[in-house]
Amino acid sequence: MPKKRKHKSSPVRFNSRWVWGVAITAILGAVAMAVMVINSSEQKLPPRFGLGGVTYCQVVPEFALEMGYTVSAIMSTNEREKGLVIYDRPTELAQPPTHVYKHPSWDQAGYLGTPVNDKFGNIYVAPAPRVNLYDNPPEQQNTVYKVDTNSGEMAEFIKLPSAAPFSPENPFGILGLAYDCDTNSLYVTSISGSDRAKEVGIIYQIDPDSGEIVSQLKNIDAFGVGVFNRTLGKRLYFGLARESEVWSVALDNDGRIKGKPRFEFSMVGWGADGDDKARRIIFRKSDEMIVRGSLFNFNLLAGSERQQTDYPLRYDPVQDIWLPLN
Amino acid sequence: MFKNLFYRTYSQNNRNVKVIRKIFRVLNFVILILIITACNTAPGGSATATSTPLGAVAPRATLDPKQYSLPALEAQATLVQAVLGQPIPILLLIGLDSPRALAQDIAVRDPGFQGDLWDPSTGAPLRNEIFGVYPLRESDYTEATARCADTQCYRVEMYNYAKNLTTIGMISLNDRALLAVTKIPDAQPDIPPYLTDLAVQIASQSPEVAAALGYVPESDQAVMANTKTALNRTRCQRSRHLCVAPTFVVRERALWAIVDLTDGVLVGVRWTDVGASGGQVITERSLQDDVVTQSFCEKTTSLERGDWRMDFILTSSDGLRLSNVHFKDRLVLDSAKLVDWHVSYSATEAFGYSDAIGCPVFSQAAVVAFQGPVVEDLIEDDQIVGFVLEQEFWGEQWPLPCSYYYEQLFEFYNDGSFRVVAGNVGRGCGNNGTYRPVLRLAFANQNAFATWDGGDWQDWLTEQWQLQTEGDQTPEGYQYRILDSGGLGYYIEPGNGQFGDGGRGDNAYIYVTRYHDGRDEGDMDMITIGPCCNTDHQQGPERFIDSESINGTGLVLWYVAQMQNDDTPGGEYCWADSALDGGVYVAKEYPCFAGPLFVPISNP
Repeated sequence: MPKKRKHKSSPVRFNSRWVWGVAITAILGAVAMAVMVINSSEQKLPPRFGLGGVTYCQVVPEFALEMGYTVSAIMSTNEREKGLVIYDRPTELAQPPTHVYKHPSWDQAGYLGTPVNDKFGNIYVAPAPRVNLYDNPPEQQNTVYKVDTNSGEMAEFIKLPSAAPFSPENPFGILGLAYDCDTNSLYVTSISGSDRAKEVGIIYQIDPDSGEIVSQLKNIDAFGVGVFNRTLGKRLYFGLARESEVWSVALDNDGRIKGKPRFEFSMVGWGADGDDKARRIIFRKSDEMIVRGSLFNFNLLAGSERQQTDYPLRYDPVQDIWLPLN
Repeated sequence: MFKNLFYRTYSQNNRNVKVIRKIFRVLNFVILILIITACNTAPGGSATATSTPLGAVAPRATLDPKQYSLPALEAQATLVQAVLGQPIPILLLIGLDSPRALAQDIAVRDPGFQGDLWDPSTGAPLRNEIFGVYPLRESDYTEATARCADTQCYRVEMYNYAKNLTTIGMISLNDRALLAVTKIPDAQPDIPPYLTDLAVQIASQSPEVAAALGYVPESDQAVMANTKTALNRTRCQRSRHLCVAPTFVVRERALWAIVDLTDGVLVGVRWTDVGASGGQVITERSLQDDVVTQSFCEKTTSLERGDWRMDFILTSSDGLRLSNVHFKDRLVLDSAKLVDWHVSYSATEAFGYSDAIGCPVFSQAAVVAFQGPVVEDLIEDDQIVGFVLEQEFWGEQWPLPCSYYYEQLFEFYNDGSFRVVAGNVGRGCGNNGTYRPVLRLAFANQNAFATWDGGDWQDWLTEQWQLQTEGDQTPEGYQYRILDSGGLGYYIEPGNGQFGDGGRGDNAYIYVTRYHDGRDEGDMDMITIGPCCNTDHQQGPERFIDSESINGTGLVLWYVAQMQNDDTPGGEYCWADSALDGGVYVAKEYPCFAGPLFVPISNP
């Protein structure tokens, strides 16, 4: 009898347990769905944004126009010249540059990486050590500099926080810059503080007007970076500094970094060496990506040793993937 | 209501309850997986620990024929030499059927196919070989080969070992003509079967493979051998040679043996987990970098030989760093390393580089170690008089212009003397370069430093520097002396071309600074200490000279030699060039060495 009574009473306890189970399950499901929705959600591209690259508004600095430079002028940060120089594009191949100009403030940050312009003609640039840190001290490596479009003066724009102190294992800070004309956003990839054991790099979205960090993606060592508009929404594409891979992350229509990164394609086996990293990502036309690959192993490299290869890819809007053209 | 519905459903039937319970268990599991997946941080992350052993980098030398007999390798070398003497220096593929043989014949005789058979400057033959002749594939059809849709066409693939270049000729047998030629730099066609066999033999006979496996394998134990490196995601990026990777599978692990078929040598071996190498790239560079990093950058190695014992480690930017150097239980050096190489090409333009040497990845070095250090006997008059610990550092493109090759040598002699040496093997960016290696030696114990004034030893009481050529030397060639209170120490003999290594004199700047326990003045890994192109004593160590007393204190000796390169034929120095040997380009080395000898005043 007691067993029977016990048996009779069991559905009550059972039901109670299952109610809790259902509730917990529902909560967990809701959390999972929310996380997945956040991770996979993209804001559909509004009509005011065109498809493809987002650098259409970039213009030549005002000071350069006043000095007689045209839209074909080159802002260069080359191997032998410390800092930034501007010159007219030679009319013939192998001719030396003409009309070369360098503002006195342009070598204060040592050797520099590739510059980007904004819609006003301001230039943003970051230090990029070549074969040593003599001209590129570690404390400067995570700073973005701005060349004012009117005065041509270079000054510190924003000193980005580093997730960890400088390590002798990593002489680099900022690796990539990109500008989005749609949202007036500057994107910066930094691997400052990363070392062999820990990956603490950060991708920043910065407001060029205020110099404030708007959004960021942490714990990722990213290299070249660029924004591309698809009908499904904006995405920030970036090469990994540790792997021969390109990933992307969704941006909302204000340029904020949203959700979790997704793998786009591997570059393993591409080019002569087969282990290039994506040091630059450039979008041309409405469906073409150029990935500029080169050797990168978190150590310094002479310009003469750096072999660069451009890899063209085409966007397939049906599958939402990039396909190598070669 | 929602709750009641479920209550009713569950209470109706126990069987149903069990089924639904199972469904919910599965659902919970699925949701858990979803959460884990959703929260997973995508790229990056730390590497998982594995017990799989690493591998080894083989010393770059041809197999010793006395120890390992490789008739196939010798036969191939003989054949290559014979082909290089022919009017058309192309090693042909044999055993082809008639159409393929005809296609090969048409290709090799066509001037359009012969574009890279000879060195353009000397006209000397380059090593070329037909690797394959295949029927044209649909994917090969272009405007030039459109007619091949209706005719018999073949694709003839030739590899140029000297240029690491693939030439592909499209042949129409009906027209008996070469329709098109494609050249692909830094690419290798699929290798023919005999090269597969050769690669397997080299791998099977290599001591590194036997050491890794624990036995000498049979050739048929290798798999994936004819998967050429490009297709197998395996390449020799640094040597730019033809490489393949015979692989030996042992239970759940695979041993990749990367074989360089251009030189006929083993590059090294690397273990991987079978099935886990989907995204793993095993190449010459990854193999070398992994082995050097894990074996010499991440840990200190102890060395004991004769009366000497010491520790060493590869640094981020200061080369090979020795520490705790003892002779007969007496601590001689706290540490010794090479901080910078300053290379200047023109005093007027101040063009040059400050190069750091060190670990191949995650370092501040621009010229890096591809292999770990080696220890060899020092032999004089057929007698072993000591040993040398040697570490080399290369630029990826050496010996091409603007690429560098540096060496560090630590010579230890049985009599207690030792020499710290910096070496350069070119090639650099010009023939007017001056190399200034910055050596740093932290001496153990409390010492006094003195210089010979022509008649007696004069102590340096405070931190200072001197140019070697501005001082005198004893009849024995000693210019400086470092001595502790117990009368033990060393005479210092700078390089004056007397060491028999081709050195032309160091013309060094010598700096002595005080060692500080609480203040780092170069004891830790140093970022670049000085600019490339100062031609005076301002090479970096002078920043630590601030008139502190150095009499009876811990001392740091900085030694900055100055070596001018020379490309004059017959007089090359600190130089490198490329020359043809066996139809491939090899480096011709003209090293220069500098560094002081330390001779014990009295042994402990």
